[in-house]
Amino acid sequence: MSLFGKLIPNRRKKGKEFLVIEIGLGRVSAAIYRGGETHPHLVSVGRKEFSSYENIFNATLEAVDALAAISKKIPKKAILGVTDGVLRTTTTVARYDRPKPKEPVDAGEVGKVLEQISSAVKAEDLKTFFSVVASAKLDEASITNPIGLKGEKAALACFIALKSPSELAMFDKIIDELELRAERAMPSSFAVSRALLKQNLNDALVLRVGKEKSEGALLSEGHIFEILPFDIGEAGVDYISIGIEAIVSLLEKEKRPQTIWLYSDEDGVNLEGTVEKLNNFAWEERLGYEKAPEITTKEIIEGVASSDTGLTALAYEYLEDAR
Amino acid sequence: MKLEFDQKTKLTDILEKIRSSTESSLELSLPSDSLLAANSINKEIIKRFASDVGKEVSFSSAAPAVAKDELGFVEGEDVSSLPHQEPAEAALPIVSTVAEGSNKKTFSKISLPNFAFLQKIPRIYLAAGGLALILIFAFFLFLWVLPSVDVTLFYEASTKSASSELTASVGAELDANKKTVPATTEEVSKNDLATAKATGKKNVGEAAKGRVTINNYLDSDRFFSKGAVITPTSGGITFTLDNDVTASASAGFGNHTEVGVNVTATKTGPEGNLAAGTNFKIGSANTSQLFARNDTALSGGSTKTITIVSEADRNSLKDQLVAQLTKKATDEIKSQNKDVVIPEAGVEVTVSKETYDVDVGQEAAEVSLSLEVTAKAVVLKFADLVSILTKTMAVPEGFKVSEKDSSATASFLTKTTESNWRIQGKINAVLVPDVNLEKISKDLSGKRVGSAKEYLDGLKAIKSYSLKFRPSFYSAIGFLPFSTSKIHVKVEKSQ
Repeated sequence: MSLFGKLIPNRRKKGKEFLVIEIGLGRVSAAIYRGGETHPHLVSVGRKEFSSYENIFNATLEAVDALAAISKKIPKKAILGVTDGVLRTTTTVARYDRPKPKEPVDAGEVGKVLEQISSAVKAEDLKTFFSVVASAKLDEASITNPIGLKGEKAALACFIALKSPSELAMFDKIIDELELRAERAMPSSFAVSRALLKQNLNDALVLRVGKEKSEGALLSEGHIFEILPFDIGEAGVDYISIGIEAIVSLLEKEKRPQTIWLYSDEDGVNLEGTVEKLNNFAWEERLGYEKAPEITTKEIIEGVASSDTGLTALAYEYLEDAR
Repeated sequence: MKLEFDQKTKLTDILEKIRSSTESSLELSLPSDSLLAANSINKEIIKRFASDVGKEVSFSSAAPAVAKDELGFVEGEDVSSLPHQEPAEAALPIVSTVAEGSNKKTFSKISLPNFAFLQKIPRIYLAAGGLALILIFAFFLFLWVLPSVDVTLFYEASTKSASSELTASVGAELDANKKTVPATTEEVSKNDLATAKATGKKNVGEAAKGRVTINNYLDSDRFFSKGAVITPTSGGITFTLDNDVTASASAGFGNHTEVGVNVTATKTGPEGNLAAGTNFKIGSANTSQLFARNDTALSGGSTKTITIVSEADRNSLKDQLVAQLTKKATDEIKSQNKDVVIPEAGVEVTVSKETYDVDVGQEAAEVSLSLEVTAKAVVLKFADLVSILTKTMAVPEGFKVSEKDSSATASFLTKTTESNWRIQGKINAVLVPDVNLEKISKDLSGKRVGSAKEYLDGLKAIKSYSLKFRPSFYSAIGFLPFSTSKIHVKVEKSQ
């Protein structure tokens, strides 16, 4: 830390309250968390369900209103988690020879690469809203974070998430309306996946199940491979295995996940029906599995209810960022 | 055949249409700007489902695709080509570089002794001696280094349950004689907001109103006060007078006087809307001498049923939210305190804040409750509970209680003081053999197989055992390895 940094400590100290807004598959949750040494503490929460994507803006304002009814003050610093909608994610490996290999990689260099990748990933009518270096190689040495390390041949695996401009405009409108300082906006499934990767779960399908929709995050060899929403939820449970089949098929046969980890989008979603369908699915015949994967609904974050997983994972992301 | 769908069509509806269609080839027309059409997984689901039901589908509009990169990056490359790495937020690995040659060792030249005397011994003796040395070495190797044996002791799986009344006390020591187990209290506050549908019903509406004329054939004045009741001669709903009124006396036989007065039905509802010309009885008067009649229809009577918030709605919502928050509080206490037991019904819940957005009796479709509770739990250490309950039961000789496999629970009985509780502790103890593996391997080393079996037969709580020699032909030698490190003893539950 620089002398300046020591004299003037980070303003985002642990212990300060912050706001987490999560736009789920069927409800919006707005929660105030307080930063802790090891984990965030939930202070209060407001929620509002919505029936269609067009109602998200109003539902968000109502969720924050509900929160305001039980809280003295709504923090201005916030993190926004999003699900569903037009979401496209991609992991791109940027390979280049560093012009000054004896100097360590700094945040500026990583930022430029992410910027280039983001501008290079063109999807019709979609815009990048979240990008991060998920892993890297320097001179063939595998590393998690390249910043501060030296090397000539660099390969950075960049995770990029894109959304439609209309959705991004709606998120901006929410932030403006609530006069927030959004520190970050990210796919909620990315935050949940990171919580599992920290537990050394390298290959899995992490499935958020809503009433009408679901969203799967594929983890492969310790990386977030892709986040894929689809329009089947608890209400269409008879078809949910086809959705999972469509997602898992994106990976080569030998890399398909051995764990399907389910969590619910809201309190009213019952995961038992989905578990039963997946346990009865012909994994061997349909997807070439030698042994059916484990279907689990265990807590992803210890002590946190299934339906609060996304919200809490976002709070962890905020704290990680603050540190 | 072309199937057209609109913006609001659900994916499950499309799948049902495909299933029910009699055509084998279908063209699906989806609005190009619909979220459903823009999602490639949704399309893949449709294709797979269609294939499952033996149909072919095509789409009349395509979703936008991710373009290839233009800067030489391999966009969308499978990251699985990269080896496994730790999460990005982990501390950066420390890379240290050691200068080449800095770790090299150098040796000075060694001068060997003079072995010229060996040349005087006949080569055949040298060869025989060498061979003998090799054989002795090999034999030593065979006896001490190579062989090993896996001794598996099998025991009968058994459990034993016990129950005892205990005192849980804050600040106390574990005392088996007094049956006292140390306890702590943990307090957690939780709040949340919940909404429920209102189910109360209430009838509301308007009473019919109008004007009647009182006809008086009597030779005396008759006074009627406001609120006097009149009843249709044909029966039915009653009305009351809106004002005081006096019907003057008639001029004589066959004459009568008339006076008008406004009336209101005593009940709400359309049954008060009476047609003109209806005759009314006034109190108990004889209708041939005194009656009322409406010259115009009485109208405005109506009724409807509305939904209101009932006391039961609010109570049910509160019960539900209290239960939810109590569970969350209990889960949080358990997650923050490892290996603890919270006695059943041992969580004391106090509602510290309770705010409803709608009052009882008020018209509303739903009612929301903002609730904050403080949950205070009595917490016991699992190890303490197992330890004290184990001492209350008789464990068979040769067995001990396996703490990691056993389960223990407690239920709350009474609160004796602010820091003492009577609880009922229960244990379902898993019994395992109480054996000293190190001593067994020491006792077995170098024993003949027969003696070793006799020894193992004599072990209490052991049902059977197996000896597995490596290499397997070593068993033919007839005794166990001499080194205790080569005797691997383990205990397993018999199948």
